[in-house]
Amino acid sequence: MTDSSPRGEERLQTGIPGLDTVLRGGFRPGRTYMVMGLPGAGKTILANQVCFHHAADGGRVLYVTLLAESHTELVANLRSLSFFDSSRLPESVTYLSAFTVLEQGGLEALAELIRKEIRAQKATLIVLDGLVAAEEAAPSPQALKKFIHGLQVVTNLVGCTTLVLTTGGGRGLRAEHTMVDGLLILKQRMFGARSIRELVVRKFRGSAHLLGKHSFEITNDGIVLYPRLETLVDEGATPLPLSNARSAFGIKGLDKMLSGGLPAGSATLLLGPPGSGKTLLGLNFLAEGVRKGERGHYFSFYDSPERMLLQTAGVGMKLAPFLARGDLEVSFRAPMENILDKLGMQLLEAIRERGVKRLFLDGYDALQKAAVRPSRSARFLTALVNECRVRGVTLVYTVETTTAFGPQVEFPMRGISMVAENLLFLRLAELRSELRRFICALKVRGSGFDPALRELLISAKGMEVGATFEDAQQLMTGLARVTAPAPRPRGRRGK
Amino acid sequence: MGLILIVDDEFGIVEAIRDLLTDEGYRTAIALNGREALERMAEERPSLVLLDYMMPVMNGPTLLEAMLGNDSLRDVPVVMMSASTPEHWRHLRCAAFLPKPFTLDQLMKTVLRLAGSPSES
Repeated sequence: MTDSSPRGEERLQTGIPGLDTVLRGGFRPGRTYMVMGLPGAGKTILANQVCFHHAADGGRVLYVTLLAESHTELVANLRSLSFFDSSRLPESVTYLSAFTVLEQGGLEALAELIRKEIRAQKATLIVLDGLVAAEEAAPSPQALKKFIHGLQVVTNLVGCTTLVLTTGGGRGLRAEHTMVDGLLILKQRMFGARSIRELVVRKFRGSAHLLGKHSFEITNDGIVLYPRLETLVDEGATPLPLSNARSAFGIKGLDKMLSGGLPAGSATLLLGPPGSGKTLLGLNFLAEGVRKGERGHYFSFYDSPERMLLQTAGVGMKLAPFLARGDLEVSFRAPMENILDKLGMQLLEAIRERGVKRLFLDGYDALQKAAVRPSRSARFLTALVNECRVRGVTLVYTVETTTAFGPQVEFPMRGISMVAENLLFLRLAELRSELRRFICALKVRGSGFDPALRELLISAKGMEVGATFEDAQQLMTGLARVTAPAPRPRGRRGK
Repeated sequence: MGLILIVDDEFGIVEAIRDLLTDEGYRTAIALNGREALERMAEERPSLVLLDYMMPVMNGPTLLEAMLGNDSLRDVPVVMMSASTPEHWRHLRCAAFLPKPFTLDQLMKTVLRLAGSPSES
């Protein structure tokens, strides 16, 4: 965050989901802001969205275009967006073209037109679309600076908030772009074949704001911005101390291994290869929470609710009533082109607004894919874990190991201590030509636990953690060696 | 029609106030410091002075003092514009004070009260 914000100051809300959060309430009335971005970046939609929101709030808007394009075309393009309200035209939202005035009279004539129209229309918000045309008409950079400064003084005196839209002329950020009260930059970046839209508030005078890049998308409702999760989590908030309370899995043997369950309010990483039982463990954890009166949320990238119900029914779990009552929620996002911070907003909503006490995130790998920048997913997870700690939410999330078998086990992430108090390791091992699952606790912070490698049994009756493999060695390699006669299996293996 | 003299070292502000008052029909002149203002007033006695407090060469209070010591300028109403706290300018003998930042509405009301409407001034 930046400097201090004037307390209790009135703001002109943008009405753009997420942007008011980034701007700490909206624009400062009477100030001048520049919105910069290449063609197609979303400047016009952003400005018009603010205009119609402001008009709905009782404000009066003047939209001045300096470009040769007609308003008819602009309005026609806006009609498909839900915020567009033709009943606001022309009383509350007035579109004017200043192209000819600029062409014939230069910046002075433009300044005069704007000054007079603002007062005539009693405008409280003005948009100047296409500053690049004024830049081209300016005899010198100094003249353009003078024009912008004059505009700022007049609109400030009149109390009219100003948005100036510019492409920047493709020449990057220049001095005349930084003399305004705020600068918002819209970018569209390519990551492989994928395109991501991002907004940065480069400058915001006299107010705190959320720093850095924030993703956004353009929907039928206009722009929806997703502030970076790390900036939303209250850095000053103190995580609740780990209590003695336990969040059990409701799985025979496992809760005993963990001295009653996971410490309530902690974060737990379930690490293992595909098919090792991570998802079922997490769902058991949620189901047990519901039975104990704790609302659960399953954030899934791989199983739709229907598929989850089918799978769990096969192992004796009846989750449908929990879902019907709303005690268990499921968010399913196919691991396609997700926006990381959109996922973050959905997770925060579950935690902050719906009183979720147990959260199961399945899995981290999909977050990594959504992150587009490799270093981002770890910071995102740290913020999420911190938020859960602050709110007393017990978090369980899955991470897939890169190899199912072999002598080496690589942790697919670094800095695990930052993002997990507890680490449960699941693995598949071949023993006597049979594939067996096992589980062990590598770490449970602030608590005693059974460090033994125990068999994880999955049957139609459910999950169970069984005996240790006393007759085998080198299970961790996935290729176990028998050292003594095998004990009789205690349950049917396989889902 | 009387003249409104705007004295401020910030050219953008001087220009903006000049243009807005001109739009309203007032006759205006500008000066960027107290000394320039005195020179302008020697040419024509204004009917109202809008005066900034902090300026180079000659600041607002010094100009005000000079005007009070001048028989022909003593009665010209002065509006002091300042971003400083009232204790800095409360003691000054001005017709009105406009704490910065002020709105156009506040400015126009003050001008109208002291200089009358453009047709009267």
